[in-house]
Amino acid sequence: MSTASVVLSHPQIQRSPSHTATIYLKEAKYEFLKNLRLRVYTASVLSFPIMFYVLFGLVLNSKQAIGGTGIPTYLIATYGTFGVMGASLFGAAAGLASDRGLGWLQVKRASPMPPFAYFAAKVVTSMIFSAIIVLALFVLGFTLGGVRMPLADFARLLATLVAGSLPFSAMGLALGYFTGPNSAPATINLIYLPMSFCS
Amino acid sequence: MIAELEQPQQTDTANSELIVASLEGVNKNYGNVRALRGVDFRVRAGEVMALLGPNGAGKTTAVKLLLGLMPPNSGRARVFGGDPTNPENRMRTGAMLQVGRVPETLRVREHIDLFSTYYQKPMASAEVLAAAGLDKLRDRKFGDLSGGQRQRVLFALAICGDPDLLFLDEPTVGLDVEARRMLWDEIRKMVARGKTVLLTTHYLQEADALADHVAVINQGEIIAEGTPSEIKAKTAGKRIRCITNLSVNTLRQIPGVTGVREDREAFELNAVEAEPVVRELLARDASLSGLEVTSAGLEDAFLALTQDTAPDGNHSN
Repeated sequence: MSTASVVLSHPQIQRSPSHTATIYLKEAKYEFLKNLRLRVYTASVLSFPIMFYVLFGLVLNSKQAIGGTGIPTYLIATYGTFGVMGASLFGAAAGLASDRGLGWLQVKRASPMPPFAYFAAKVVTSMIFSAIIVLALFVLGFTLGGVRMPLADFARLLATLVAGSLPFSAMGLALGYFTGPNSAPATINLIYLPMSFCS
Repeated sequence: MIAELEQPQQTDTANSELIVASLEGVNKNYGNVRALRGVDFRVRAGEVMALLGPNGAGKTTAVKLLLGLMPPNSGRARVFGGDPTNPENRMRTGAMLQVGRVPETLRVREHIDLFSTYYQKPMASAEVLAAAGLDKLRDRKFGDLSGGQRQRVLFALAICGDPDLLFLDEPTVGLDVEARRMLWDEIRKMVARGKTVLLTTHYLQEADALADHVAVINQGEIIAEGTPSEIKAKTAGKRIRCITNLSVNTLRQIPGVTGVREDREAFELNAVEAEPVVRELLARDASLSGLEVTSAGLEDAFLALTQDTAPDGNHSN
């Protein structure tokens, strides 16, 4: 009964499935474009894991191994995790905190946008950036680090890392919700930097 | 005379179909701050209603309640006879709010493309760009626009869904004269197409130029409601400004004076007719100087009204 009353008090708009899909797609497309053009975001989120990987995985320790796994291979997972964390936390938290704190989210909420599309777009964007980072590390590893692994392992590692974007996006959205537009980056760093050592 | 201003009469239910949006006995508090106190007003189909008041009067709060962005503490906000949070109603509503930051790396046409997608029957993007005067700016990133151009983009987002009801919260803040006139023309065109507009403004001229009905709001209360000419009629016809050593109380007691306001070294008096008051002033104070007589505009009405509701308002009747 309770679900029925909820449905009654919030009647859904009759949109065709293709219209709904278009909204979700465009929301995600523009969220991605927005972040891609945001140099602060792309520069920090993409360049740090790649830079660290090149430095520690390819230049310095490329001939060493940990537990039978070569350093260049091992560090794809490590800096992949680091990159996914950064892209997801900053992508979700900073965007939401600023949209929420500075009124933009209210404009969106006043429109007939399906609220879930907004959050889905942030999560999807974080996943795309995560995939870009991980693939960039693979490309560097394969070409310069002599990394070789079975296709199944490659697929599994890529999928695991990109899926790892989900919890960090969720954490980012929570942080973005509880912090203001000015304090969000500092708060994220407070969590992000210590966690980086775990990756 | 000001004390005679009344809350609008309850509209009978037969007219309720014509009421597109209303606040009914609404109270809204932010913590201890009472943003709206017993606010009642109605927006009728096809009209431009202006909520006129100084900053902090509660205009934006009223708009946000009508957009269903937050609930009132008591009373009701209604849109199209229903709950403002109803997605069906949002489909028929467009809103221009005051925004601190809009995503700056998206282009004008991209913002419009995204918002148009939310609606069932959006306007063609070329039409939206033309209506908001953004043709030449369509490929610009939002971050590269001037303040006035940004306002125009927000206006474009409000109208792109071809809504029946348009909320414009301080739409012309930061616009130059030309851009303001252009936006006024666009608002008039929306009304000519049968749309209803609720506009908030602290520009009296704007309410005067656009609105069919004006509700004057101050400190969370509607203190006057009517057509712009009715609002103007509630205050005296002339404004007399002078520097005098007569006291406020003496000035108030001069027959025909309906309001007195201290403005720096001078006093501003409102009067139905200027001549008898001026004669009296000169008779009582030979040293009077800096005499100016002007017609009272909506601004004077507004000042007289808002001044009257001030806590220390010690008005003349």
